[in-house]
Amino acid sequence: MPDLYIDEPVTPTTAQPQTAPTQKAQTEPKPKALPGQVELKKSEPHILASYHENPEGVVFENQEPGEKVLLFLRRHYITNISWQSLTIVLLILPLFAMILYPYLTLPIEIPLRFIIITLLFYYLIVIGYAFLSFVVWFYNVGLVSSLRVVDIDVNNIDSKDIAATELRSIIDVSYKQSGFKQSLFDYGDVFLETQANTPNLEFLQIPHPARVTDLITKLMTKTL
Amino acid sequence: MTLPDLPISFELIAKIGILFLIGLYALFVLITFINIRSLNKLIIVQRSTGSPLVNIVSFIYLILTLFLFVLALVIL
Repeated sequence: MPDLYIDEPVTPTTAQPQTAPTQKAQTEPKPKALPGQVELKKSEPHILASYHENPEGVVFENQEPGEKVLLFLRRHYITNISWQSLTIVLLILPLFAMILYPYLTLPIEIPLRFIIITLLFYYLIVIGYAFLSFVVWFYNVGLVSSLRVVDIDVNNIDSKDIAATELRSIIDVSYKQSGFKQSLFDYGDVFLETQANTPNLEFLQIPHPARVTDLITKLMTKTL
Repeated sequence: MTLPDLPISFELIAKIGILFLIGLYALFVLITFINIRSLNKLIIVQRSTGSPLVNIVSFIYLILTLFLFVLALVIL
């Protein structure tokens, strides 16, 4: 399994004049990876990505100047199936109601304008539910940087729980993968046990838990 | 209350009820929009598409909700 490549921190040189960045990039040799390591190219994660190594464009609050995000994690996309299925059912539901409406005998005739507004409001709520479910998934992020591990849990839209711990504070990493679905789609829970004074972290339902465990373990040994 | 008055009172109650619900929902959407903005300050998932896109969609959703509220005021 390839190690994550961590290059040396860049020290600013103010004395040398700035040359054109394109020419500089062409002339300067690329930093070589350490023996046994593979340099991973930085790339921007896809909008629906749930696992990305060396992501570009991922920034978090209180990020140190030289700190690099090495691993970007979210719940596996397959975990969204439940709310997506429910949304589809809720979107189709009024169609059945429209089919049944002529056969219903109501004591009061409901005006058409009321039906239109109620239907529009209903669809607005359904789309809102889908959007909020997506946002909760989107911002439920786990990050492994060159210095620490950050776990951002957004339970509802108005409650968020952020936990971070330094890599050197982690004493044990383990993962749990159980059930047919988790084995089939290769996702599971990763647990990070820290020293007593810092809270334990957990990344739930993330893809490739074995690989994540291995990468964090290797990063831990490097920081020791 | 006589029997012929019943539809009028029903309409009035329904009108107030629907407007109240949409107004309440618009308030909820506004709170959601503010919370999404605060989440964007906490973490920017992608510079080009991800987080800015979510922010724009939440804004459009807020506008749609307010539009529905105005539409309900006009139509009902």
